Amino acid sequence: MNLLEISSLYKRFGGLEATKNVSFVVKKGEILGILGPNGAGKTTLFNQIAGSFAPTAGKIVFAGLDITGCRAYAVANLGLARTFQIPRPLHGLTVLENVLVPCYSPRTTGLIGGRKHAAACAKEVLRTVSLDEKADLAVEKLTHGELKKLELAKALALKPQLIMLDEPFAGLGVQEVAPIAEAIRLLNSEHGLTVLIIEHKLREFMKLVHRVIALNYGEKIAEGSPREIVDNSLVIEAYLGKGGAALAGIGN
Amino acid sequence: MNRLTLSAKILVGFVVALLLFPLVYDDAYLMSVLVLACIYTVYVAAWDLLSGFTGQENFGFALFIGAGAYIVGFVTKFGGGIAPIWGIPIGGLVAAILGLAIGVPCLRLKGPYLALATLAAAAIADRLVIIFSQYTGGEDGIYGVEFLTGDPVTDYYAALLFMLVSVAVLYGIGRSYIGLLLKAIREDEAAAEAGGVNATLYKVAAFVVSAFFGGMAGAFNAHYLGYVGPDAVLASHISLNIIIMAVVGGTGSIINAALGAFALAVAADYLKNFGEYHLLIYTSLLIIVLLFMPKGVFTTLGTRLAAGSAGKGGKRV
Repeated sequence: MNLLEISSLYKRFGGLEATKNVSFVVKKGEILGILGPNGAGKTTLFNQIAGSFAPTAGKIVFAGLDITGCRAYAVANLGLARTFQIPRPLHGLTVLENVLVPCYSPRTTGLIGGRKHAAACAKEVLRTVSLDEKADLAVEKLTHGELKKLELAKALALKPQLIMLDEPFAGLGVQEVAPIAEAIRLLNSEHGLTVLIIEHKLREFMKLVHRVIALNYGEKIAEGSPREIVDNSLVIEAYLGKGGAALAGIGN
Repeated sequence: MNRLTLSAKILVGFVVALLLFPLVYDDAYLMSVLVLACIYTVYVAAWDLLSGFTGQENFGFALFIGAGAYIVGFVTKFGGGIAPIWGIPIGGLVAAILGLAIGVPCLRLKGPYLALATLAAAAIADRLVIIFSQYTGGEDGIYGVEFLTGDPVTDYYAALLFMLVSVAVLYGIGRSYIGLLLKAIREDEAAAEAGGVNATLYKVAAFVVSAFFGGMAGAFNAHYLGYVGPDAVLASHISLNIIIMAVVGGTGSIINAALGAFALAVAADYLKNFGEYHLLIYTSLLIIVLLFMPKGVFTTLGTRLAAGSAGKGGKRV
C-alpha cells in the first residue's frame, strides 16, 4: 500500500525550478532514501510535503488524503512528522518541555482527556532516543548529537505513520551515528514506522534504506535498490561529473 | 509536595498584608494609589500573556484599555448609564472583539513591524476620539460614569479582588499547556507547527484573551474614576508605561511582570514628592535596573531565592 504519493511536483522560486516534475511513492513500512548533491532540491521537497510552503504544481497524497498546500500543523496532525536538518530546539525550555509541545498536539492527545497523559508520553519518547536522563536540562546544555536526538524525539512524539528525516546524522561522529541509526531501524521493524530519509553519510544510509531515489537539479534521475543506485551512471555523473563517471567505470 | 517555595511564601505574605492593610491604616489617598496600582497590574499581566509569552510585542495596549473604558463611557452618555457589574465584563468583551480584529491582520507581522502597527492602531484611536469629540467628549472625556462603590475601602477591596482573580487566571493560563505552546511559538513558529501546534489559532487567541483582560481593567478604571478620557485610558504613555513595567518586573511568567507593575505604580506615585525631578529619578532607576537585571527584577530575585534556599536552607537572600 502506498502511504505517500507524490505526482509531478513542481516548485518555482522566481526563475529557479527547485523541484521539477518529481513523482514517487513511499510504501507503507519501508525506509525510502533520498540522495542528491547539495542544491538538488531534497529539503525543498520535504518542505512541500510537510506543508512549510505549497508546491507550484503537482499533487501530494498522504494516507489517501490530498494534502497539497495544507498547513504544516495540519499535516503533522495527520501523522506525517518531519525533522529539520539544522536542529531547531525551542530555546528557554527544558528538554522535556520541548517534547511536551508535540505531545499536546491534537493528534497525540486525541479528542478528550489526552492532555493528562502528555508528560508520560514525553518521557516515553525521550526514553526511546535515550535522552530521558537529560529531561530536566535546559536545551542550551545539550551537545549537537543530543540535539539531533531531540529533533527525532519531537517528531516521534506525534506518533507518526511516516517520519521524514532531514540528514539525521549530519555533524555526528561514528559512535553517535550508530545508536541513532539503530533506533530508526528498530522503529521501522518493530513499530512499522515508515521512513523517508535524506542523508549524505552514505555508509550508514545505504545499510539503512530499502529503496533510494536520486535527485539532481530538482529532477528525479534514478530510483532503485541501494546497489542499483550506486551503479547508476547518472547518479555517479551528478556527484563526480562526466569524467568521474568514466573513472568509476574503469574502477569497476 | 505541598510545601511552598520561599518566593511563594513571600508572595502570600504580601497578599495578606494588602488584605489587612486598610484595617490598620485607614488612609484614603494611599488606598487610591493602590487601586490604580491594582489596575495597572492587570494591564501588565494581560500584556504579558500576549507579548511576554508569544513574543508579539504590543506597543499600543492602551487601545484595548480604551476600548473597554469608552464602551462604558458611551453607554453612560447615550444609554443612561451602566452598573459596574455589567460595565466591566462588557468592556472586556468589546476589547476582545477588537483584539480579534487587530490580531488577525497582525499575524504576519513580527518584531518592529508589529510594534509599529500596534502603536499606530492605538494612535489612530486616540486621534479618532479627538476628531469625533461630539460623541467622545474629546480631550475632556465623558463624566458621570457610575462609580464602583463610592466608598474608598470597598473600592480598594474590589480592586484587590479584581487584580487577584485576573492575575490568577492569567497566571494559570501561563502555567498550563497553553503557556508552553505560546512560548514554543515565540521561540520558533515553524518548529512549533511541525510539532502539530496551530500557531495562528494560539496567536490570535492570545491577542483576544489579552485584550479581554485589558478591556475589563479599562472599564474598571472608568468606573473607579467615574470618568473616561484619552489621558486616563488611551494615551500612548500608558502603552509605554505598561511595557516598561513588564520589562522591569520580568516578562514571560505573568507574576513577575505583575509585581513589577504594582511596585512601579506605587514607586512612581511616591516619587512625585521629588517634584520636577521625579521623572529623572524614575528613569534613572529603570536604566540601573535594566543594566544589572536585564531579565527583570522579580525574575532575577525569584531565581536567586530559589538558588539560595536550595543551597543553604533558605537563609541566604
